[in-house]
Amino acid sequence: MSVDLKQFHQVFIEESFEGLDAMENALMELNPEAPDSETINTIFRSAHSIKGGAGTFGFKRLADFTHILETLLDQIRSNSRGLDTNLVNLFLQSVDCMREMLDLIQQDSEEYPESARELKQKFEEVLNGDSKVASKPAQNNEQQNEDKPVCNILSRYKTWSIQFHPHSDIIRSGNDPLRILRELSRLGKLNCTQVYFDAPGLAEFDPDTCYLAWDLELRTSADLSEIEEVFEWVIDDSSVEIKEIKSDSVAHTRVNFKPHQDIYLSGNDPYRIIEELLINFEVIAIDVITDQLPELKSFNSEHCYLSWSIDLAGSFSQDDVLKAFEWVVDEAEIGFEKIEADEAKEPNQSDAENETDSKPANSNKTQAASDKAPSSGRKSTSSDASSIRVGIDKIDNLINMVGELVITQSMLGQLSTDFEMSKIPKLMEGLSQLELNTRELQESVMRIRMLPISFAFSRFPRMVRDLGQRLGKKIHLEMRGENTELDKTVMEKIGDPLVHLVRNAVDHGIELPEQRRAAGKDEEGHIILNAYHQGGNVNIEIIDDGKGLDRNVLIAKAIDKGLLSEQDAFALSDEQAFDLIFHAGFSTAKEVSDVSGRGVGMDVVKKNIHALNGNIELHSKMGEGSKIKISLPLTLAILDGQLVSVCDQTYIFPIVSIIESMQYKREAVNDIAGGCSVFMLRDEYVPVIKLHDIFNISKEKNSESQELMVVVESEGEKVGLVVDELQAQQQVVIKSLEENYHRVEGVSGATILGDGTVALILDIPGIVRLAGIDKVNEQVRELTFAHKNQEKKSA
Amino acid sequence: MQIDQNRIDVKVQQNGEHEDSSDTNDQYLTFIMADEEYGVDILCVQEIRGWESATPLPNAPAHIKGVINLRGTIVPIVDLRQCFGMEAIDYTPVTVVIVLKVYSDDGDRVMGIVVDAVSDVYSLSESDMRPAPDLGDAINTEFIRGLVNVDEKMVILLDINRLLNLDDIPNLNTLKDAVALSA
Amino acid sequence: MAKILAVDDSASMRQMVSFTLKGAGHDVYEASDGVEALKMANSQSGVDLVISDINMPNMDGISLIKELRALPDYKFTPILMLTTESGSDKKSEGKAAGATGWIVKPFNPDQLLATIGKVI
Repeated sequence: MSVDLKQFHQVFIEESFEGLDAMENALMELNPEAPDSETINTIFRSAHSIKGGAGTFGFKRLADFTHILETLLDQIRSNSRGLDTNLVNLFLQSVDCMREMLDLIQQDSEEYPESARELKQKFEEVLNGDSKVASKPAQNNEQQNEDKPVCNILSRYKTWSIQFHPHSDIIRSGNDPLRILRELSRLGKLNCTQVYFDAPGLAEFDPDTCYLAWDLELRTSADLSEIEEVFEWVIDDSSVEIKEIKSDSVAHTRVNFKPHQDIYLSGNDPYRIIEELLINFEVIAIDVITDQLPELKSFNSEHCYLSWSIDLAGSFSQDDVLKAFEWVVDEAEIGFEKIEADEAKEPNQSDAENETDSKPANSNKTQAASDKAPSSGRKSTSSDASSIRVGIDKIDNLINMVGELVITQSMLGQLSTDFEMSKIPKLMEGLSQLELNTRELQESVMRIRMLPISFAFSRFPRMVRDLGQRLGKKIHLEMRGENTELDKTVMEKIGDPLVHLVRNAVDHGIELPEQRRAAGKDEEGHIILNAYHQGGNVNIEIIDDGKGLDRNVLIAKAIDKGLLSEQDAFALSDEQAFDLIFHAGFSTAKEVSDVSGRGVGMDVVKKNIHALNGNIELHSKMGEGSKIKISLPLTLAILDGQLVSVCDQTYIFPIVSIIESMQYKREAVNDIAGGCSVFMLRDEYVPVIKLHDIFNISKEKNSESQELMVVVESEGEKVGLVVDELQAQQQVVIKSLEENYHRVEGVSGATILGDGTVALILDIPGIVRLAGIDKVNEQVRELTFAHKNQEKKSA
Repeated sequence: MQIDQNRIDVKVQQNGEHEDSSDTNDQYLTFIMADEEYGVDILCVQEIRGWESATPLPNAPAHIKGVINLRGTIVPIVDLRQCFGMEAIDYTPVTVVIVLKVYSDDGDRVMGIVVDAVSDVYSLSESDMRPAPDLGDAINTEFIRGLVNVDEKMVILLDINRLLNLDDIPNLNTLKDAVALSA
Repeated sequence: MAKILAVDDSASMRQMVSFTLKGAGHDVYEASDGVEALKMANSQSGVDLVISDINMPNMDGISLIKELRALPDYKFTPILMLTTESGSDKKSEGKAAGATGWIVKPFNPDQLLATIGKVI
């Protein structure tokens, strides 16, 4: 039976990645001075599983690499080796290394990365450091296994005496002595020379105990190791003695008997003749020579194709022997050979040839299979690019929901068959049930895309540890709410911003131990990652107890960079000052460190989070630490929307982008150069965009006084959008326009409203681009500055 | 508006009976626009529905009427008249939208085309078709699969996969005149 | 056709074992650790063979074998454990717990079928 192992590769790779995550986490948890045995076990188990799978699925290099790892871990597990930080670091590096190897396997190239080679060498040094055992014995074992076929070829029929005295508990281990006998009989001709039955009286007889023992004789071409393999599982407890009966070693006579092809037609039976020999002589071996057997299609059942070689011991005359062949001797070929003691070992030619022929053929076959394999493997990896693991409880829940939906449906169906007005209350009840079912079903389906945030958090312990070590800082990372669920897509997109924020906290937030001591704080800094649900949002907080942000440093820098005028600086609230770090090109690190990048940081983080319809806030207190709070929508498939109408059409604003809305007053609006108009919102000028202009919708009613203005934020700038009226706020399901059409500037998607019509969801930055406001923003900003200066002068 | 499915089926059968000689017959759904008959491969036709108002898309060309909700997916609607540069007419309750599945490089797309009325289903074989006349480089005729005469009427068979993926759809009035001239 | 319970925490190994055995016409039940396997063993009767990994979370293979042997239905049922060559002490530990035999990882489907052929 041939099973294509390729089909399991993807599963193996996925679970190995998970295993590596588990291993990494356990390594992080590990205290080298007092390792917890369960943690060690977890680490060992991961390495062990990967090794087992890699070997089974043919990833030799990975198996090779994990083997040495497993050997080391096994020694640690059994307390025969101590653990130190250096070793833990090596193990952590090996996790990275195995990830790399798995990546390579996924790309269908199983190379030994340079890092793996180096690391393996280091591990070998560790292993060889105190004992020379290393991984050599294992390799020797493999060598031996490979040698086996060669022995096989040389082996010939031998007779073995086997004394099998099973342990009395053998049956309790699930081993069946008869099964072993059956197994032996498959190897060759098995004779039972003696059965021992040592049972007590019936009163003490225990049916679960084995009272039997056997003396056996096995004539086989199998070698000792093959016989021992049969006893493999019981050999330690039971008494098993296997001895070769060196009958061949005594001088004897070999009778070569090749009957005539038509011997059967003469009514003679070769077996009868051999039986006669068995009766009259001491037969020590009978070999059947089958090399004359023809192809099946030319096989004639009336012909005899077999010949025999019969070894007879003792002394006798050839004539005595020939008596047995009396009736056939004329037609048959009968020869006698004197075999001396030493010659007996000479290999049986026909057997040897058969085996040598068959071996290369086999290996050719496996060669062909492995040649073919890579092409099919490539296909399977690419098809599995994006999969999601869903908890069985979620699926069950979904099935329940569908079940209820079916019930409601059949209830409504029943109602419709003979409907009367009196049944209206029942109908209403059914419909509200249907509504409930639908909503629950929708929620359940949405939950399928939800993953616990630990998927995004899991990389941080390692990252914080490594960074901390490099910067010489002591940091304790605490993670809360790791089971908070978040949409898979959101999760994927929030990963990088989070990495950036945590890095910042380690690099710029937490101080060096001596600084902390001087400030009267615990030497060890704390970083908390906290995730929780609030309303329809997921909030993620990154809290550190480091030095906090220095308002004055921020302001000085902003002025230096020309982002702020000195006069404005004094008026800034703390919040506004901290917000400065979200401006493009603003970096507070005095020198650029390789840890936190080069000041491309916070503005990109903010932009990414806004792209997810999320929000970011920063609170900080000098000397006490900072807290960054990110709030994200639970899913990208649903959006909190503000419905507005413009000329009979309904559009949807993402609520997160709205700052405020107000009456639109024509007189408060000034036209500036570039065809743009601005209006005065408190003390700043805000560009105004008329949605119907920008979208080219024909405007019928011309009553601008009725209009409203929605002030939104687009990439850090405020913009006013003029609409006709505000409608409800509701959650909308986002549908793609690109599926059947193409991207439309200013629109991020569409949704279907309660009445079945389509409404477009606005893409605020897109609208700003469409209106060309981004180009006049500079102008608007200058205008605001000018205005403020003027005010100050007059005041 | 509802199309009588049975009627179409019957026609298909009749056509099948008297044109059984050729086994490469393709069926075409034909529709009327400005008194001309056009045909599309029936295998591309997903459904036929009456006109309902569509949500206009900002800054879209005039022949894109907007998008509608077709059982939860957003489907764009193209006015084929305007697409071909014909005079636009007001939509009435009998204005028909043919929903087509179009094969494009980035997967299948569903689109609706607005036509004056649905006409018939014909079973046609390759041999019945004449190629579109070569009108020089000025007019792209790539989207015309062929011309065919049915009961002495000319039917223009459209290759909708090409047509609806074309960036620039030519003015069909010129085409019609050119075809009339060459015929 | 035999009824076989396959226990391994590694999904890929479990699937490989299960697929191979199913391909050979056996009825295969899968469990991902000892606890799950024991639960399954209790609810299934007439299991002809148990194949179990040794290193598993929650309940390891050795404990599972001990627990199974204590069940009347599993007193004589062959139980094979999956080991790696480095686990020679595990072999004796497993035998002490009542394992019938073992299959050494890595193995291929043919080896698996040949080995289970010994006991069923």
